[in-house]
Amino acid sequence: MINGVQKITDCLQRVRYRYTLASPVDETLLSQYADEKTFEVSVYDARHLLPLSRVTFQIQPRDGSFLVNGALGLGYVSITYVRDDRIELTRAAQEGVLARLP
Amino acid sequence: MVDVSQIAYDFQHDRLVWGGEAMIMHCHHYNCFLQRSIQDAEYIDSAPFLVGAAAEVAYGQLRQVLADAADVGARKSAVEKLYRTCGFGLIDLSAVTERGGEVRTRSTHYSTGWREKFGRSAGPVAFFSTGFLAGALAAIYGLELGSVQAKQVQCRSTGAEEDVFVLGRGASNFTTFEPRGKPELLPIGQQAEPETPVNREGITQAVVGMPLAGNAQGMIPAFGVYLTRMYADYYNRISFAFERELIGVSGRTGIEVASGLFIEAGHVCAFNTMGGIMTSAEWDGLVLPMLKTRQDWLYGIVACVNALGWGTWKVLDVTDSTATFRVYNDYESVGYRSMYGTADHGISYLATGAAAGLMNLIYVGDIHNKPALTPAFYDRLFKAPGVFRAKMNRCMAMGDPYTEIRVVRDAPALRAADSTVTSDSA
Repeated sequence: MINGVQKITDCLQRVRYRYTLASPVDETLLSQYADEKTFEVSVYDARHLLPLSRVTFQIQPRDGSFLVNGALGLGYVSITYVRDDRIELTRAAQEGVLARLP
Repeated sequence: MVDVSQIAYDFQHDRLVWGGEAMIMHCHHYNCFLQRSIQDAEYIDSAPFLVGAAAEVAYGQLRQVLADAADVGARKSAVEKLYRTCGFGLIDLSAVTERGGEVRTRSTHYSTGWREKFGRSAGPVAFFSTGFLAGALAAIYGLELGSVQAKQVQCRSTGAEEDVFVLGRGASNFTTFEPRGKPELLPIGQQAEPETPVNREGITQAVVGMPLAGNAQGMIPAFGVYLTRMYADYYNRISFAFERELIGVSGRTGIEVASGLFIEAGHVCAFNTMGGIMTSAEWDGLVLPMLKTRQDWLYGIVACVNALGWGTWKVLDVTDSTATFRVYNDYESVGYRSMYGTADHGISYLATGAAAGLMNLIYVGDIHNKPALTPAFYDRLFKAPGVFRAKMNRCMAMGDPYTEIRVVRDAPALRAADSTVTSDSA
């Protein structure tokens, strides 16, 4: 569930928002993008170097229309949308995904 | 080899060398601002050296990288991949032959970045890509760099649908430079840095290990900005060639002009790239859990800087109103010495501007509160009273064993910063 939305930047034909969530991010979010034909999920775990760190991730569809940045356990994610004529549809779809999270 | 993840990072000197060229991270804000600073001096014909600098580094690197490629097709494919991997955009070389040809693309870092930052331009701006393609043509077909030509005839920054580059043969239509010497690296001093719970080496290693390669669009979106893995000597050559032109026009006054412009470019870099890093989810995930004080934030971001290939940065001391940065093998000095020998004035402009920028972000801008990185915020951090100013006290390019930058707040009593910070973003 989304608790708040803040527009962060608007540059390089992309608009970025930060979404504050009701619950810390967990694997449930990543599972929404499990279709490897459609999405590329990149997970980075540096806990062997930084034990206090969190697992970070990037999610982007193959068409490059948006990019999700976050880390497991944080209370927010940022999503960057390509500023084109589909942006409102893309944004609504991703906000729908976040809204369905616990 | 065109897979950057297979290139070993030199943690001893905090450099990444790929095909003989030092590669460093910068974002489009810095790239475009630096180029614009040079182009704004309309009395200097900068286009030939902006193109020539890119041709020089691309040619030098690609001759090495392509050495093992089986045939022309494999070389073209490797060049396209390298270009995309570095975040320069997308190119398709299928129409290029030994005689030249045309390259059309809708994805060019500089064209897109320029339009976004500065609006529609009067003429083409993708000088880097123009020079890169010239170097690529020569390297792919084993030609002398001085026997190829390149020109950008359409640019998306002007409103065109595509960027169009035309490559051909003939005496080069860009600057060709005297060959550079071998880069000389100096030993890293072992002086102790202030105690901190921040695992500086771990952060540097973690950031180096991040998958920072261009995506399908030829962009590297990370830390809230769009990065390029650019040639250190591209920045160096265009900066120092410009400075030398300025000196030719106005004598030593040219140094002051160049210094002002390039330190400002360093401010822009710090504000956007470092500000972007410190407000990103990646920062919050990797680094934030170790940070309690503003000093910790400085150590954390400097550890990230050491993952960008800029040389080895150390913070010798820091208070709410002063800081001393020592930089070993800063890329500006290493490049200057390989191009021109010992400098008679300090030339570590990016480092100077960036050092002030880091202090302003952390101590003036309260970056831990994730402020929006707007133009108005930039002006408050760099153009208002009571902000940090940096002075280059030593410079490796002048023969010093390191570059040292002292940063002092104009009027530290104006605002006493609480050294402890609390971020509600975790």
